[in-house]
Amino acid sequence: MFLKLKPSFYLLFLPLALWMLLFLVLPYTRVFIQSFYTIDDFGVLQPALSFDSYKRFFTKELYYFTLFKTFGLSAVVTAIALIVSIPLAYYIAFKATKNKTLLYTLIILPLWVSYIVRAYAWKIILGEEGILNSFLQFIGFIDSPISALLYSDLAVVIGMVHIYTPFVLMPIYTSFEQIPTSLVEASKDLGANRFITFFKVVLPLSLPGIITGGTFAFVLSLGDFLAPNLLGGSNTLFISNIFQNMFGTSNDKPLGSAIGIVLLVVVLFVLDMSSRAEKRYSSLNSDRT
Amino acid sequence: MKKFDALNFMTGFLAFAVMFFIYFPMLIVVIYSFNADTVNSFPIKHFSLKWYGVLIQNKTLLTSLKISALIGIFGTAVALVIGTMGALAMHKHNFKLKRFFERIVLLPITLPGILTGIAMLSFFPLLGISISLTAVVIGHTTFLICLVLTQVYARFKRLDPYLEEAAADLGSTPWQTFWKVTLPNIKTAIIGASLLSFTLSLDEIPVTFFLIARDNTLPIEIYTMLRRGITPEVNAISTIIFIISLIALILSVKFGERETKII
Amino acid sequence: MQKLFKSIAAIALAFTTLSCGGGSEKKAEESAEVAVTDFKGKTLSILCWEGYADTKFTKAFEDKYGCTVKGVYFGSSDELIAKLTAGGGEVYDIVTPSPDMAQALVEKDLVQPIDLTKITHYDSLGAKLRSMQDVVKDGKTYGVPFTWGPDYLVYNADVIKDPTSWNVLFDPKNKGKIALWDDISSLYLAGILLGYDKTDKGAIYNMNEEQLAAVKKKLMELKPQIRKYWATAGELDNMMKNKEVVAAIGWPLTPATLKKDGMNVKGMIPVEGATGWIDRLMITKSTTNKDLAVAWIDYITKAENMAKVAEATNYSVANEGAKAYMSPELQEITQMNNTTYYFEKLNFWQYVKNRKRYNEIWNEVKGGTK
Repeated sequence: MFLKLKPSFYLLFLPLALWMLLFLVLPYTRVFIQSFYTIDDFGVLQPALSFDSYKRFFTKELYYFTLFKTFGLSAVVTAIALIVSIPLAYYIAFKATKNKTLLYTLIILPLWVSYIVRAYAWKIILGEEGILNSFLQFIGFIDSPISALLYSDLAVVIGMVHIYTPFVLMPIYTSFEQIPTSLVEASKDLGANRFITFFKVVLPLSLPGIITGGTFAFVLSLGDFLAPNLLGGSNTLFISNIFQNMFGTSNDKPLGSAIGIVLLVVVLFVLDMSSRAEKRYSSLNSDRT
Repeated sequence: MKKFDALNFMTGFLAFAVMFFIYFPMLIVVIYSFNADTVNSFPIKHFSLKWYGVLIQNKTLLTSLKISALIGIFGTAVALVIGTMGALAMHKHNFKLKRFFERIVLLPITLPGILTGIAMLSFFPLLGISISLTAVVIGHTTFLICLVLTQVYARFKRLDPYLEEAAADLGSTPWQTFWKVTLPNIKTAIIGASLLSFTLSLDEIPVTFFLIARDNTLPIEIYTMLRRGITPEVNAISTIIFIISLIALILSVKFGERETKII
Repeated sequence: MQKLFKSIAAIALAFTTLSCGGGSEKKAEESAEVAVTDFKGKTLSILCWEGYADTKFTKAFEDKYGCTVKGVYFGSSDELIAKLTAGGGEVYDIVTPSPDMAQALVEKDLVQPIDLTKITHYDSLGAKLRSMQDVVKDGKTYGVPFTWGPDYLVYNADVIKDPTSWNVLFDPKNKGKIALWDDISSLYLAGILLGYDKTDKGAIYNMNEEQLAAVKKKLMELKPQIRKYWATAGELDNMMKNKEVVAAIGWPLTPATLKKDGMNVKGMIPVEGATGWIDRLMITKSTTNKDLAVAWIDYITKAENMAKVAEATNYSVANEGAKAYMSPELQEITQMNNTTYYFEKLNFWQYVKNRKRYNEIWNEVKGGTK
């Protein structure tokens, strides 16, 4: 198959192919192979074909339950990010007449601002002596600081929603933009009120964008280990924390690799489902229009 | 004058509230970088530039900024060359594994960084690359290549294929065609991709986290500082990063590939 | 700047050799021939616990040899192992493991024997510290004692009056204001609370499944009291400063640091007992700066330099002679005036064979799962 191609192709393509093979494909393959290894008393890897790590993952509540819990929290983050994104995207797409580009630029700006800065901001806002608590005390709303704010699952969810909302906003806005105004007008002409128009016309047409955005938020939260570290409390444990633990503090690489492979399969599954759904809805749309 | 519309008002209000939610934390960081106090609480008693002064004295932090900038520049440069070449190859030729390859290069962008980071951590030592800045640079370059490739490839797909054919018909060599016809057409995509690459590299944590040995990049240094306790100079450095990001964004919107998703 | 260019060159090299399909030998050899006394421009990398490469005591060494001392901090013993096994051995020259990992480093062949004749002050280091056998293999010594201290009760003395027992951690009054270290050493503490170390001090480092189950129950009981499991001493300091935490398991560093901020935070060994640690200086197997590393160990174990270590870290140091250079106040903070008491009271860490299981239990406690 490659034989027909001209030498110039190889010249252009070879560096890329080699780089990807060495630094991307082989590393992932290594994780896969490593997940079947065992370790000795001192944590040194022993080549083997053992399913122990997978067995442990699926039989120990610690691992599979944490995975489920992470799913749950990621789903919450995704849902809130979607709920928060839709009105703003709608406003910019349909209501804002002037400064549209400026507004759009403003919603993608946070994407460019350091992740760590955004996580950190919540730390100083939610802390016991933090800005929110001292503000509430200042205006006399509370007498003593609320201590449950920072270092809790709630703080992690708030932080993640904040960090990942722009990822959701962008595709939703783009799909709103692509809806022909004539369709919306037609719906109104046919007597539908704005609610009906929104739920029956605008929302279905923007489903591909909503799916893309939701997938981003879900997958990104699933793999985040920093926000739980920085904002989480004694109860916070995400699957990526255990995963990171296995390579750092626990030093159990086979189990870590097995967790990695499970996570990888889950993420690929989610991505595949989402791209299928997206295609289905966009083709539905193109049939209708 | 339009009459007051409750529904419109609600939408506007919600939109404003969300905008506020997105910007409030960042504004807080910027405002509190001028807080003279060590504790970040409300209200601010005195304003000062003290923490910027402390920042300039913090050699470790400044070194990490330099390291980050150099990694970003180097990674972007390599990614531009390899990524653009690859995009050109994929644009010009059809081969069996193309579809498969198109998916592979999306992985580092869509998969959680922690997975890529640990995969690299597990494999790089087998290549003789131990954890170090070298490993970090390779890690960054890998996902930057994918980024440049997808961006430039997307632009190629929108290019008029006859342009290049016309150039060839008029007797220009492939090399000439590239410089005179193709490159000018993808120029803005390249500029946009490099700005995005640089910013992403400057902000990257998950992959760096696992590959770093001795010399920290800026975000890792900030992360370490946060782990050791909050120091107010983080506000100051964050404000500076915020401004740099703002400039990079404005430039990239000017040049960028707006039709394709940047993420 | 230079470093990055080196890395760039290294990548270019790696890439060319790799794409040719052949891996060439690494530069391991070239450093062996470096002249012994010439350390100019070299960098000594120390992978250590927070504060073990403080400028207060690295500066003089750097000036003397014209080299740079660079400390990289790790947050837990396993992080140290992970960094070293990921090929960090070439990057780091010196590591400072605690007794839970020291033996593992020797067994795993990650460190090399130290020629004690080159360490001028070795004999003035605490005899008890030197006598520990976990870093001796085939008659060779792999580690030189550096600092030691307790994992004791750190408390805000304005809130908690004269505690005597670890029970204050369980006091409903302190609910949500307690912090434990995010480390398996919390299991040792629970073992002590359950009295497993009564007959054999080493038993808490080798608990059986039944005991581990009880330990887990104890830690789960404590969990509602916990604000956060701290990852670094700085994080604990911060939470105590913000009054988010009033009692915790911690190191002498915390009371000392907070004292400077005008807080009334104290540390003590409760009646049930406490664990303790001895950090040792070890030279990595694949260091490219062996002579410089030896020079460092020789320099830092000198009494007056050890006093500077005590001043910077607030930990007890191995060389008792350091007392001569320390203020009475510093001696008090570091317990250097009371070493015998601490030595008797503390249950020093040992290598945990079933570390994997200990870690799993600890994760289960954090995740609140079975």
